[in-house]
Amino acid sequence: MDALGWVEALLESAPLVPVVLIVGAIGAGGVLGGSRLKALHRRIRERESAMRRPVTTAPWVDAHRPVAHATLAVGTVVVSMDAFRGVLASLQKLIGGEVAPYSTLLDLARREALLRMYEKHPRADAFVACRIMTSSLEENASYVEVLATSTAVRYWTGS
Amino acid sequence: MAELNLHAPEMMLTNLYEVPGQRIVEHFGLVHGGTVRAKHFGRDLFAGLQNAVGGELKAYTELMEEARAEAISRMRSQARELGANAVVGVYFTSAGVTSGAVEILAYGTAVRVEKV
Repeated sequence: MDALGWVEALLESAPLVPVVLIVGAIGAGGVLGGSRLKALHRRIRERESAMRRPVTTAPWVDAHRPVAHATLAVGTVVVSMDAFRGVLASLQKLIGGEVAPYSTLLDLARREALLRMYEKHPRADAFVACRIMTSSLEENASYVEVLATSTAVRYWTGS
Repeated sequence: MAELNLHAPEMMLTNLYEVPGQRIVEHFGLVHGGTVRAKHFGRDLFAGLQNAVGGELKAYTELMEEARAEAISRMRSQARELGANAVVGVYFTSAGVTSGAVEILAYGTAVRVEKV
């Protein structure tokens, strides 16, 4: 029996299977998604407080300080909404106004992308010309990419 | 509608990298604020009709303005918490996140400035 035939046979014997799967996904999203988000939030806060180097959208921090090395720094993360919060978000979209589940998720994603960018350049003294972008990878997708870029700069410390 | 006030005396915002006539004395790093918004269903429908006719989609212009004001106020309160009195090098980006909802992001560099 091929895969499709197997699915058809399953649906015939137990027509409620897809409903159970969807409700299960929403329930699992509600239970697991919440705790995962909380853990992610905690980890991000810890890493943010450990980060002490200057970051700026300007093309320099101290224009007079000689630079020894400069390189492009990139941090990226693709995030998606869990099923439970996805349902909440689509209800909110009917009413209009702020879609809080997405605002929170994207805020975390942005901070994660920035942290990844910093952590890829542990020897950099500063991050300048920082830019943040959000892009949906396909039309009406439930997942988005957040990209942070900057120039990682190491100052000249020789004699 | 939320007021988009870029000249609040307690927190200056600029897309320059300095505040003209003032000196940057302290640096607080990157601050950002974002919001994801959806338009009311009825007005979305109206905008859909207007889309067929062409011209400005007023409902959507308003949506973007409101969202941008909210994003700025979040960025501003983040900067205030750090002890900044200005945000320089401010940039905006926006992206369609899911169908019918849009993300607006404002980010910049929080600094403290003093009159020269």
